[in-house]
Order: sequence, then structure tokens, then C-alpha cells
Amino acid sequence: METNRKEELLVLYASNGDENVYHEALKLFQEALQDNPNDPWLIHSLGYLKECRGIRFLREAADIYETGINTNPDFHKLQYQLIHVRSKIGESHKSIDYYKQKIAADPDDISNYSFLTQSYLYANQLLEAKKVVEAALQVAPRDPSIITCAVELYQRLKDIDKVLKYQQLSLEIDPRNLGVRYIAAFSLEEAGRLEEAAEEWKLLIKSLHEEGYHIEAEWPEGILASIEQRIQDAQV
Amino acid sequence: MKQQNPFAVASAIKNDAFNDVPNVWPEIRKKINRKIADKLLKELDCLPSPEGRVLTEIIYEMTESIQKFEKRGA
Repeated sequence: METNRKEELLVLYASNGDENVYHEALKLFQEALQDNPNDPWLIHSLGYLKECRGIRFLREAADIYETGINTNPDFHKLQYQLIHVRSKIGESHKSIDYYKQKIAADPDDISNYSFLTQSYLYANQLLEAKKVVEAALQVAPRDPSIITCAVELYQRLKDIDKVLKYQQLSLEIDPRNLGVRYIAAFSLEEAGRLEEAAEEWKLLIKSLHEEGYHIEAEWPEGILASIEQRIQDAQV
Repeated sequence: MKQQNPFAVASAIKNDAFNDVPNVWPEIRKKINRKIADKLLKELDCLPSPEGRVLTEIIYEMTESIQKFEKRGA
């Protein structure tokens, strides 16, 4: 009987998200697992219970961001966050449809191209993201957000020459855009161009220290050290 | 008759020309952006490429809707 009760509660929680149901189910599954800690079905059910709860919280976050966007459409961080959360709950297509409509309504607003590109990148739709970036660069060839999108896109497409081209352009427009330095450094390392990757990390580390980000510089310093070791090992 | 500086005269003529000609560039730019957007949206108006997740999302949503519809009918 208790076995049925746990499963019933799990199905009920998955459909209605009632917190009381969740806590009751959690208690029963945890007690059952204490008696049978290696039972794969119990493990699966407990994991699924937690997974459903996690998805509910992410959906709540998405609703909060959406409400915020309606009242603060110019606060772009909300839009980027919504795109990100939607990708976690299998709803990237909603972001994609939304930004296509925004571009159709206002083709002069370059920010929607940037949001649409991010929506496609999060959904791993690289061909579509490339089309959006190429169109956006015709509309605004020196827009910083589009150029950063281009750097991200070409890193995913493993086109190192384009990564470096757009990284250079990005830094010309905004020398403090450290994000593109990270991407270029990783891309160069991935392409096996270790000396250039090391140079990129050195410039990044220098910028971080100049901006006062000393703690944030520690991790890149570790990466630089490991690349320099690999260069040394290759020469031996 | 006082001789006028030819450069000053040329500059004055140029300024008059610019001031008299209406600035049509914003309108032209708008039309170009519209064409770019329309072309892009037309290219994106097809099934998403299979390498990404959007197709899976759409199929999952359709499957869920059908299941809900069937449950209501049962």
C-alpha cells in the first residue's frame, strides 16, 4: 500500500506541483531509501521528484523575468536571463518566436537580433544563429553586442579566423570587453595554437589586474601556467 | 569691389547645398533594414536544423498536447 502511495504522490506532484504533496512524497521516498538504499526504482523516483521541483522553480523564474520585461523592456539583463532559463526547461522555441516577432515589428532595433542570436545559440541552432548574425552585421556592423555574438558563434563553429577577426573589432570598439578575450583564448587553445593562446591569457590577466579584479585573475593565471607547461613539454 | 576668398565662397555654397537638400538617409536606412529583416525572417521560416534542440522541443510540446487532449477525451 505504501509503495502505491509514494508513486501516487509522485504522479500528483508532477501534475499539480503542490508543495504539501512534494514534502509528503519526499519523506516517504527518503524513508524507503533508508531501508533499500540501492533500489534503482526508488532512486529514480526520488531523482524525478527533485527534477520536477527544479523545473517548477525554473518556470517560476521564467514567469518573474517575463513580468519584469513587460514593465522594464530596456533592462536587457532580464531578457538574457529569460532566454537562459527557457533553454533549461526546453522552451527556447518560445524565445525564438518572440524575437522573430520583435524583429518583424521593429527591424531597426538591433538588440532583438542579439537576443534572437542568443536564443538560437542556447538551443544549439548554430546555422540559424549564423543567419541572424550575418543579417545583424548588415544592419549595425559595429554594434558591440552583435560583434560579441559573432565571436561566440564562430567559437561554436570552430572558425578561429573569424573568432579573432571579430574579437579584434570588439576590442577596437570597447577595449574593456574581456569576454571576447576569454573566448579567443579558449579557441586558440582548442585549435592547438598554444603560444597565441598564452599571449591572449597574458593580456587578459593584465587587464583583470588593471581593473582591480585580482581574485578573478587567479583562475586565468592557472590556465596560463598549464598552457606554458604544455608549450615547454612540447619543446622537450 | 572687394575680392572674396574663393575657399570661403565654396564653403558657403557647400553649406547652403547641404542645408537645402533634405536628409533622406534615415528613411533609406529604414527601408534597407526592413529588407534585411524580411529576408532573414523568410530564411528562418522553415523547420529548424536537426542539430539543435528546437525540433525536439516542438515535438515534445505537440506530444504533450495530444496526450492531454486524449486524457480529456477518455
